[in-house]
Amino acid sequence: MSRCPVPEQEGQSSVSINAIDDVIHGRLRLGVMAYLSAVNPASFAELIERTGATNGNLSTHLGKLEAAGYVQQQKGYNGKRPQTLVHLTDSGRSAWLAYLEAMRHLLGTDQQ
Amino acid sequence: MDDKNSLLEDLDFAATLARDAANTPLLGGVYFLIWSGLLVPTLLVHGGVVQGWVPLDPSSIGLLWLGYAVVGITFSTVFGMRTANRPGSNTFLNRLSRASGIVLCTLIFTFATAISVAVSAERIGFEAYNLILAFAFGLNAFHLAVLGALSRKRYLRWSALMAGVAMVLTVFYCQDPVVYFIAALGVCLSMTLPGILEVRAEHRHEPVPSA
Repeated sequence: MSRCPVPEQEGQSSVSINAIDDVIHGRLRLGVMAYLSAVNPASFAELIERTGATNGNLSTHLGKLEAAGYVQQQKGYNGKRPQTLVHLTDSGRSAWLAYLEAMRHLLGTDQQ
Repeated sequence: MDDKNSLLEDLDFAATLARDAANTPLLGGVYFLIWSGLLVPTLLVHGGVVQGWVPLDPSSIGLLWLGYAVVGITFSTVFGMRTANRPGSNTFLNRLSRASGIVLCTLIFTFATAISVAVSAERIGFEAYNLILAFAFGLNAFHLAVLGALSRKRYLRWSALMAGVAMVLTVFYCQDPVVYFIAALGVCLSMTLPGILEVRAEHRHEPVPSA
């Protein structure tokens, strides 16, 4: 888990900033993780449609998430058409929950 | 400040995607419509033949049900492939609905086969075939009740209740030809109705525009 440059808030400890997972913390990767937390697995085409990303951009970001072990890409066929399914792994789900917790702590919403 | 705004926008984008995914409607309505659309006329013809209103040989009833199964499985396979490609088809509720639907169909088929074997072996009488209706309504009531409880959709709970009532009535009138007409009504209330509502909800659901 790496550190990410996020705005530090007054009265917040730096511990919570260190807890922000840089692999998840990026607009598209964040969107993918959020979508996969509700729809698992999702097809590559579905993620393109939902996030509005380009093929290349999504591939790059999925590669980063896969390298971290957060998602798993499964290439196969749907009928005769090739299809890639993206699965959120157990460690991906844990990392996602930890990320949400860290963000909530950082933004101070856990004290409300 | 820009960093903070950017961060909040990113979180908002993620939250919108997660919310949209979580709000994906149930996609099984088309199966309800396919099977109920076939089941109601099949039951009415069956009842009509038994009552003597439809000029068909009673021995053709087996073929009628065989045709129903073949057409139903064919349509379900075709529409199933389309549904599997719909965005949100792998939400928890849609996966549960699919798995439960497959188990339901398998159990009904197994039960019907067991009845057929037992009737062929002259272990039980022909009227035992009518118990398939009660069995199917009971399973459908369970399927709908579970989905209704998890999705908190009132119409699914109501349909589950109707399926339960139909189960009781089809047992009660098991040896009476009126059972087919009661079953047809039960199918309309416990399958056609939720099917229409689910397909409508599916068409109404518009995904949020992507960023």
